[in-house]
Amino acid sequence: MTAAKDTFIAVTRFGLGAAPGDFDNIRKPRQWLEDQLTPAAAAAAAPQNIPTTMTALRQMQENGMMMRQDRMAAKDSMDDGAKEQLADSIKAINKGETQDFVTQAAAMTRAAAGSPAPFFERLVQFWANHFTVSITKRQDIAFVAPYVQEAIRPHVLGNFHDLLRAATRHPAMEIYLDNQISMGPHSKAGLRQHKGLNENLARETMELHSVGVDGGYTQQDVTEFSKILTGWTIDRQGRGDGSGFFFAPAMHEPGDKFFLGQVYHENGVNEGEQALQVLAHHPSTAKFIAVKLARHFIADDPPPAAVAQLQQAFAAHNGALIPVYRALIGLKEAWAHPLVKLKTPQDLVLSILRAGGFADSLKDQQVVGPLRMLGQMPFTAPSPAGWSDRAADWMSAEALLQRINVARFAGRLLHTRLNPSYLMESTIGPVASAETRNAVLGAGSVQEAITLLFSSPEFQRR
Amino acid sequence: MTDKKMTGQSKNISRRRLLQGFGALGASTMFAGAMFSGIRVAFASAPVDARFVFVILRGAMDGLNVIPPYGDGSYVDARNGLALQPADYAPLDNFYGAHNNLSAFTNMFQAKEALALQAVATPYRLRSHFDGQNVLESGGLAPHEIATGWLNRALALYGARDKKLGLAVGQSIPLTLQGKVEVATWAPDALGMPDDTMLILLDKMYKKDALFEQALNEAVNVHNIADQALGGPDAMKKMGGGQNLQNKAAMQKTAAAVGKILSDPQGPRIATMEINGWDTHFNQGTAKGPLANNLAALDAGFGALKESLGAVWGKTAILAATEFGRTVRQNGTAGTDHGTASCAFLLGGAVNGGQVVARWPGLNGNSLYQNRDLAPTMDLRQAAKAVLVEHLELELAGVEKYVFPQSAQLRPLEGLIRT
Repeated sequence: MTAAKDTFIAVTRFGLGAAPGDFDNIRKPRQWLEDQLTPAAAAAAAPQNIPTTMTALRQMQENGMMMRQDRMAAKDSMDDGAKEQLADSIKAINKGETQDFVTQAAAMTRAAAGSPAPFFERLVQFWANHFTVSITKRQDIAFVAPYVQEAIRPHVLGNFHDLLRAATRHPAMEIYLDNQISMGPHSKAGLRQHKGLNENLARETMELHSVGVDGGYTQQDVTEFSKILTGWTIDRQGRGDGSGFFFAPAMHEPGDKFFLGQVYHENGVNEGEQALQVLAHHPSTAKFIAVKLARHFIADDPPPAAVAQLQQAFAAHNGALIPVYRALIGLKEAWAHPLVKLKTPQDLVLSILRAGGFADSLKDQQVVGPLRMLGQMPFTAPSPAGWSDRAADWMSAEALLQRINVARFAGRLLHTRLNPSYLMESTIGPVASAETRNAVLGAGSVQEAITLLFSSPEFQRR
Repeated sequence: MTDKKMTGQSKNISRRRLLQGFGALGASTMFAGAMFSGIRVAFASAPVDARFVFVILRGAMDGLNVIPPYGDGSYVDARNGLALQPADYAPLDNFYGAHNNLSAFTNMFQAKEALALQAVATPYRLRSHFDGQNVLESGGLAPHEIATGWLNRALALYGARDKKLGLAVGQSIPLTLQGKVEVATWAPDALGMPDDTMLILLDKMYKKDALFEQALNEAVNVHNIADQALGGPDAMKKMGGGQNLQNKAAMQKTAAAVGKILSDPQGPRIATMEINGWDTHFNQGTAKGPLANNLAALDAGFGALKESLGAVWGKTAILAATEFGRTVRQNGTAGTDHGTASCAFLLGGAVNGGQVVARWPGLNGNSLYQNRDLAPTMDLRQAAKAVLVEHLELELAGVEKYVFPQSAQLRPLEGLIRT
């Protein structure tokens, strides 16, 4: 029974929920997790058909050009036809972008639901949320999916610095936190256009991505870091290295900067590279990341001893992440029963899709609809802090009703194909309480039984 | 077993047990009649009749372009291009104006039932949104110093078991309403309740998990109130509404529904609403733009609340506040970065309106906070304390001990509430 419980924890807490057969197939749960920390396992899980960042950039340029032409025509022309043409173009572009985005969000959700490496996939989601980008900044809509593919996924098994650098350089982040338009007030472009600094990316990179708000910096550091990052912008003309990043010297604030107690002599893009190295390897960063990982995998208020072990692993390996994940798998707190974390809506929907094995049969809107209902539509986090990882922010009377409604929705779709008793054993069997067993087995119909199973505390927690 | 239909008898027994379980909390609409009388009894003893809505403006609102101090000779220069022009605001007095998109607020101001506070801030002086909001909502001096919200601690002072005194509008409870006292949540686009058979089974299944059991109890309870106030379980669906209160139409409908819920004599007394999107780092605009659009939505909410509160408007106060303000000078990208003091709104029939309450710090070089922000000269807790004591009739001593600890040196602002 203990072995089955460990497997339950491996697939539920570390993975994305049990799929039928997991309890038979996974004999060594810790080894099963370790085996996912390889590039091959990572590649097997990647969603297909997500456009590249460079494609998204080209599309942005083309759309921009088309709109400019229509706008010129509308301006020069006296007749209303040109104005209508402009309005139509804008509408068509917006509609197309929205449709593409929903397709991409659904594809990513389906890929996660079917992933043979769900622990790796959870780590992708953890880091994508740590380095949040959001389409609440509308201009980001075509970039968020490529961002996860190109800036997050390839670096999840690397060093934290790789992640920090790739995320900071990516157009999705540059746009989301306004850095692509931030200019040194004394730079060529700044002087010519009378424009200057925007502190947004500099502040959030320190507060939310690396050292944390108590990491030991001042307003002066924020301002200086924002000067360092001027010129870090997006590759509109295809002149960069193919990543979507472009350093524009004409936007870069010239002169020395003084950041976190160090002088940064004028050195173009290298100033930012150096600053990101410093932030990635700062002791406060090890602590900040350790707390977030422990909160995600153990408890909303994680035990300090567990945090300390993760912090130590991070620091001892200079931010190499695989040793940190190994430390995480080795924490006894992570294997404590019963599981106390509440699944986020994303966790819940993915685990229902995995349990039912029906993600591929759903339309795009059916895949993302439940996420929208539950308030966690992919890439719509309300602030750069990302989605909360605490139950208090996800559970309330209304939220529970929505969760039950999502379970009802799944029950309606699944009741003709699945036996509730089998479904229960293959998802929460090792930990199902007498109350839950009685409710599921005593339900008036298969549909209700599945609704109850997916609404049960054992299924809703991880 | 799985396909076995419940017998009538077991259903009745279960239903009875469910009702007992929900106890004085009431039950959902399908238990109508008998249960409603139970709720009314509970509410007849509500310890306060005044209504209060706290609107949290998340993202740091640029108060200088909301309640512009046009009478300050430095205003236009200090904002270097971002100042509102005279055509963009309506004068409130000979020094302050209100952004044109605040027309409902301005009308209420002229009718002396709305006021603005300017150059006001929480005790937080750094510039993190998340820490700033933590202080705004917890009521402590520093972030994470207190784990519960000040409004929840205020509810605790009533010593009442009336769980439905507090209502969070939205799917989750903001920190300011989190704490020992249970509060309800209500979202405008909920799908309604599961049927009673399902509710009974869910209730049994949740017996051993307090988080789930409590949430289900509250769901049953609050839907009862909301359905009653709004005229039936489907009324809200017909009215529309939505979760994103930055959308003017969604805000209008949601605020109208909230007003109706609050106007129910048996309904909650204190509610919170949240609007995101005030973080205008880029192209924030003046007469038009993201800030102006957010103001229009907020103002529509003010107007809809007043209208739907009806007769209860006379005993209502609404406080709308943000975590901090923004830089006085425009940043390099036609927006503003994180700052310190901002403005706040207080409105309602119980409010002594028609005044802009401020000790104006000035906008010329030396008067700015750290040479960049509007300097704070008033503590937001002074206004909140006035609301708690004069409007919600809580004892000052209790407020200073539990709601805003370490605030004894801050006198509640006088003259904000009608006497």
